[in-house]
Amino acid sequence: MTDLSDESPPKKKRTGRTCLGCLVIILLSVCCLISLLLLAPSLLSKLGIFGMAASEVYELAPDPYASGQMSQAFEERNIPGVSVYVIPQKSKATQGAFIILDASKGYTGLSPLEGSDAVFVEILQDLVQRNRAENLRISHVTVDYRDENGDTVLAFTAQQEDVEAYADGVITQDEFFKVVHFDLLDTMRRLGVDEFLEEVQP
Amino acid sequence: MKRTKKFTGILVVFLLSLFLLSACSDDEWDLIAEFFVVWAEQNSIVIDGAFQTDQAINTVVNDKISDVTNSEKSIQLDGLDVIRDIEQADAIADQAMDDLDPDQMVSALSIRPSDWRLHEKDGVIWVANDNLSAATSAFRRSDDLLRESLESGGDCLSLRRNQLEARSRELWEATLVYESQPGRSQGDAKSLRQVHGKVGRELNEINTYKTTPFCDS
Repeated sequence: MTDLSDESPPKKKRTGRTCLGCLVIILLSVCCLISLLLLAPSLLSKLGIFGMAASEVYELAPDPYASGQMSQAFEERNIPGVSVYVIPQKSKATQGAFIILDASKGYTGLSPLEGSDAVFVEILQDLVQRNRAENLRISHVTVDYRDENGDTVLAFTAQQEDVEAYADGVITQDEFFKVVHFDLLDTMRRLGVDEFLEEVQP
Repeated sequence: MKRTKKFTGILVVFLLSLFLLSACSDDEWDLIAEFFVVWAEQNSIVIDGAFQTDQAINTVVNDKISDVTNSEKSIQLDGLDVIRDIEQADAIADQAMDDLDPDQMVSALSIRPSDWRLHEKDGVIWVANDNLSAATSAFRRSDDLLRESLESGGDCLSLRRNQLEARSRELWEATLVYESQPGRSQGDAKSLRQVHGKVGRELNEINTYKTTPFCDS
């Protein structure tokens, strides 16, 4: 006779070893995921899919001639506390220009006696002129404003072609400001406007 | 409406914080603040005085993606950290030159190993320490790095002249430091003076004949 009793077969007990196995698999998966997230950018960078890190792009020494040429634009106007570094970009035929306006080294402004941006435009025109005349191969201008403690207050970068278009009067000031690049979060963090930061952060 | 008011308040705090940075003139900070506010307006983060949360979040997310993927603009801004490294390495190297101490140069070179200007100083310090083999090696490394930077363009003669002028200037400074040390007198820094003379001859060749074996090879 067939056994029709409704007794179900005894359930297999979950052993401690099974639980441990699951835990190990989960931990390994998490480790793999973290490793992937950490290693992926540098791996993709090496493969050329992502760009190189800045420390690699600007690893060579600043070009003393080009840096001197750019510095002269400020020295000739008696603007203290300004340093200019023009650095060759790795694997490119161009150089990056970094202008440091440092209040801790005596920088008091481009035009301390004038409330206009006329000197700002004049300097941009001078820099553009020097780049063209001396073939300095500048591809971008990155500006760092530092406070009296030497800390960055504001930093932005502009492509040289945009700087030239603005200096030559091809684009307006507003159009130039639009294409300049700030890191919004970093700028807010540096300025110390915590409330604004909270508002922006998702 | 509430959000607009909040943003106006935030903007006032932000502008005030800029004005309080008294090292620069108010006009200068005014210009900087205006620059940033106009940028925010031009990029639709602020429209008619109202803060656009969505646009701001989009901008922040795009910035973060740019950071991870090392986009061109992100690299350019990150380049400012490289400038800090250059300043730090230069300060250590200057101190090493004052002390003619090769050990200090190790830490400067660990920050910027591919900077030929630091290898120049390293070479000069080794000459001052009468280790001509280490000095030759440091100058050779400097030359190699200069050649590497010429691969992306630039005038070989001008750059070589800049490099030799730096070498000559630093050799002379080291000579003065060496000979001013207690128990030493003028003319004691024989190795430094000898190498200084040799560098002077190559510089003279560049200035007179507009040629140098460095650029011919």
